[in-house]
Amino acid sequence: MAELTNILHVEDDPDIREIASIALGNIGGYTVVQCSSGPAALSKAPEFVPDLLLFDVMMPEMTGPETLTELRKLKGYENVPAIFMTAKAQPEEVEAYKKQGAIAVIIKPFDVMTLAGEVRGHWEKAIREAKPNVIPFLQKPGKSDARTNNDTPKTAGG
Amino acid sequence: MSNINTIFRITAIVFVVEIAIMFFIFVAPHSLQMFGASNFWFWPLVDTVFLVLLTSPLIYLWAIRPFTLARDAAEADLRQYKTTLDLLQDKIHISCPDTLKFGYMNKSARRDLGWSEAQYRTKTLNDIGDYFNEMQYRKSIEPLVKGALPAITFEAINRNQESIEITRQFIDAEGEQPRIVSIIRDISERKEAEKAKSEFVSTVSHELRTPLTSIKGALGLTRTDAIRNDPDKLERLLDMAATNADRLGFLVDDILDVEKLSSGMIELRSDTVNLSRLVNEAVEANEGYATKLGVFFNTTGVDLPVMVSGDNNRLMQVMANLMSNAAKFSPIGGQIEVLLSLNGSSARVSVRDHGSGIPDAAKDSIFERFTQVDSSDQRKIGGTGLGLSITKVIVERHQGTIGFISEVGTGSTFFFELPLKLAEQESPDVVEQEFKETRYANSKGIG
Repeated sequence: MAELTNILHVEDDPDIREIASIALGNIGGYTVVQCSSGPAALSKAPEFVPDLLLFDVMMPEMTGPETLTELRKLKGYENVPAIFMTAKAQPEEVEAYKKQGAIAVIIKPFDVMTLAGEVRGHWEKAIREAKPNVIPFLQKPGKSDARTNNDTPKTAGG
Repeated sequence: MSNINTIFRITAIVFVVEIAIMFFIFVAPHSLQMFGASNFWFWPLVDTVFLVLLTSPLIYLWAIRPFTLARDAAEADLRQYKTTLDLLQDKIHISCPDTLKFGYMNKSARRDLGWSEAQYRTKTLNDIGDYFNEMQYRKSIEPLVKGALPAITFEAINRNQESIEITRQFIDAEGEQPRIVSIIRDISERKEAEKAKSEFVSTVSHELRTPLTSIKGALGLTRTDAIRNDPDKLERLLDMAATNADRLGFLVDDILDVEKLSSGMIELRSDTVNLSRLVNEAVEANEGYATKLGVFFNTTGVDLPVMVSGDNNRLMQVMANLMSNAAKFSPIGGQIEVLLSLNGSSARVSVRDHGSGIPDAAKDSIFERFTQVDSSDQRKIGGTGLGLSITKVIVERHQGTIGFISEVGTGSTFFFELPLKLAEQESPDVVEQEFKETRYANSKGIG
């Protein structure tokens, strides 16, 4: 089975970006590329195709679901599993996010110690349930060294 | 109706019996004595007819009139019920559970379906249109007809895509045809209110959970060895938790404030407030904040007393919200003009900044709760997104008005007007004249 290695995390709150970076990168051992907005993620997208998309929902400029819709149009992003991580999580909203293509919804506040495991659990379940021929990144090499790549300085709020 | 017929029959019998009694007991014996046996039938008959003519108004008034009055009252009641049902906003129709034929339809229902009073009597439920499903309908009324349920109520979407609530009840009165009464109520407004409430709960939840995520996350990470052994990171995370705890506190205060103010749970004082003094005090109070952001205030028109009636502390809160907003959105070195002026029988306070201005798309919702021109600003420059909502509520509770003029790239002017308190000062004309004379002569630069 393929391994979860690269995560594209889009979140407008700099504090939550920093926490998620430590939780997923330092504790989880994943390579985390972070963007502060939907447009930033779209401009970063052609550079690489992650194994998992982890999006905040309520963001200025473009919401998480809007960003996902745009990313799905890009080559290689058609079937990348996406998880929404949101504080706006009424039951009907969670259902709506799933209909918009999310494999799972992680409700804020999340547990930093278990976030990496939770994300992996959702990703593995999605991979097991998906048809192998529609998941092109399954053929990618195994997990690399953990590192975090932030596209924005700590003060950015966009 | 059958009761009234019975009454008429009884009245007629009583009438005939009366005539017979009159004839045989009172008229006939006397006629016999007077006219002899030969005229036994003729004259008594004439007398009887004469007596009947005389007594018939009495008989009418005594025996028949009460019953016709009752009938008229019953008909008036019926008309009243019909008018009432017709004027109801709810759509009501009565139909036969077997044939589905309409027996009654109020005006609102007829108007909705485009049928006249004569037309609906020839229609059945199937004629309503495609969205009526006979099988589903019969299934739904089955428990009513069987007596398992007294009534059913459910929500649906009508053909105009409006939310409606339908209540159906089975009526089976003795001697009458069984029928289904359907009451259709437009619940669009209620649904909108429910949606707004749900969105508010969701937004509040989002706003509270966001700083909580940072607090919980930062504190959670301080328990890991990697962070514990790195004093810089540890301090950074503790600072993050503290900052977000403050933000959470402000949010809770503002949410409670706006809710209590909106619902009238907070009583406002009704003191005499000198707006000139209030503006000067507000400038002093917010000067430190402005200095921190590298902006300064400039006041105009604050040398003469301008009296209004209101709650000094709450009006100070209005000033603080408008001035801190102006400071947040001003460029470094920017000037914020605070102007007090008179506008007829009102006093107007304006706060003008030279910031980026409000985009057209955000203008309509600028006073709505949790609205910020750019939500990322919340983290960058602080604020809960409730300040302008609170400001608007406070101004309106002072019988005042609030508004703004803004242009992208030029800046924004937020202003509020309060009715002048005339009893304790000169007439507005005198004040206005003096005001104009001193308005531009005294401008104070702060910061």
